[in-house]
Amino acid sequence: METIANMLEKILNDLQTVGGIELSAIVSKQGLLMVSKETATGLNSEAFAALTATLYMSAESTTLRLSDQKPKSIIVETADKHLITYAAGPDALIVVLVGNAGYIGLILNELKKAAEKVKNLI
Amino acid sequence: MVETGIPKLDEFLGGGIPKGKSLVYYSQPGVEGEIFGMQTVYNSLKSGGNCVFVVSSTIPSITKGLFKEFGWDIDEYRDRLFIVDAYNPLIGAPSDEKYVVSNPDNIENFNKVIIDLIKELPPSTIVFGSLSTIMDLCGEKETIESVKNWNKMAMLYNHVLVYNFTVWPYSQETLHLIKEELFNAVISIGSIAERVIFGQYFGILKSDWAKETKTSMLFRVLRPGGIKLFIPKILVTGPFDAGKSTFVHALSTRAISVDRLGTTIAMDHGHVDYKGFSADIFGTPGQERFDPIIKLLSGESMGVFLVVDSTNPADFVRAKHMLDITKSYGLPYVVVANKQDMPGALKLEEIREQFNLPDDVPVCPTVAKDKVGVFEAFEVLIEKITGGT
Ligand SMILES: Nc1nc2c(ncn2[C@@H]2O[C@H](COP(=O)(O)OP(=O)(O)OP(=O)(O)O)[C@@H](O)[C@H]2O)c(=O)[nH]1
Ligand SMILES: [Mg+2]
Repeated sequence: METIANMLEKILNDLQTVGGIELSAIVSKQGLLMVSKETATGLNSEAFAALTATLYMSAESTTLRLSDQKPKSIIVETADKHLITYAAGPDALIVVLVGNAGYIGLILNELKKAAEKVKNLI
Repeated sequence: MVETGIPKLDEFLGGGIPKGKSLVYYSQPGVEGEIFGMQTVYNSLKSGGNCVFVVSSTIPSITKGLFKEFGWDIDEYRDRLFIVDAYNPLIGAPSDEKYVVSNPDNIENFNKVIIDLIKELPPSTIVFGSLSTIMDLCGEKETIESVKNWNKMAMLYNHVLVYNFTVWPYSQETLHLIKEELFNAVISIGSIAERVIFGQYFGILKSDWAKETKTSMLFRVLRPGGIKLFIPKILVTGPFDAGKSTFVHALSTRAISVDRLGTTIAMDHGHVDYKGFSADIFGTPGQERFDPIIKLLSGESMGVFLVVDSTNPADFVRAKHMLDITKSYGLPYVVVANKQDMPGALKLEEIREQFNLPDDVPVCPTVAKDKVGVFEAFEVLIEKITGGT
């Protein structure tokens, strides 16, 4: 018997095969962690989920006012990493942390497909 | 009574398992059900009882290692713990244990060892690590007949019997017997994926000595720590400067705040581990200009702390309004009367009156900056969330 959690984990596994992804998670827009692929980073996943959701919420509050639209994705670029938050349906977000080695274009493309799958599950 | 050691479960069972009774942890495949039996083993040892643990799905030394992982030192109780090795003979390995089931695929062998123990030992807690494994090896019908007998004998000799059982696809008849007839109490353990809440839960399916409780509890398994009740989201909201962030940090074992110049601009997040509970708490900003974020942040909460500055009744209207913004009506909430250390702080009754609070909403006094009263407030809210009604 396959649970939704298993299926979501599988989506993350598939996503990780692109390469360059250091951390990935599916979180609710209200900040609850649904599933994550643990990595070496020190931050605990629950806090990570909550912080990502606030990032998205702030962006959403902003774009709704500007253009009456919700963000499809938020990309935060630091010196050597990208944090990508991708909306997956009305309730969920996929978040990935990409290191130097990742190809952002390719990953965005995969995220789009993954988001579609997540949306159909929840 | 023998306590199960599972938080909240003993309370629901009216104190634990009475002597002579049997209980089964009935878990769906894929959830961490076997920990329940182990936690009961450790708990009964810790509280001074004798305990038998029937190990049938791994080598006993591996099982002992698992106890260590949870931070449970069972060596300390060596003279009161009797391990029945029903695994090593299966793989032809020698056993270090005093009690060994020489042919674990023959129920008669089990009968002999178990019945002897039942007769020899003073009233004890006898825990079967995996009844399903025994069933797989010895046959469903045969095992059920023996279980009936063990339970009967245990009643005569005043033992408590506890079984872990995983619901593999057995015959309907077997499952029916296990769920309805064989045991005095059945605790069901499963997983839920309800919208965005993912987790494992337990609840009482049946108990012939305690009054029925319909609540299910979410839980998590921590290493070390064992089974902790899990509350994925508790909201902390209230007017500007009331002390919400201070409150979140005072409660939490670890916390993060997103703030600028002392005011919260996005959120506080904290993790609380307290008295068998594991909870994540989310603090909102207080200033009106962040209302859109507050609104988005508050979904999926299971309970709310409404923090107010006891010296500032002018803000109580705003406080009430925040319950509105966070759509928290209908959720259990407590009013946290903070800054009780300040001159001019209103008394609890005055706050209740000014708020015009319903009688069933508790008001808890705190001095968040000195961590005074915060855990008491936590307990009050948890009791409201998990009340069991
Ligand atoms: N005297 C006293 N001061 C407190 C207490 N709790 C918090 N404070 C102080 O009150 C001020 C505001 O505390 P915060 O925890 O930042 O309040 P907040 O509700 O998170 O504020 P916003 O996020 O801006 O809405 C700080 O200076 C705290 O030190 C208390 O119990 N007593
Ligand atoms: Mg704050």
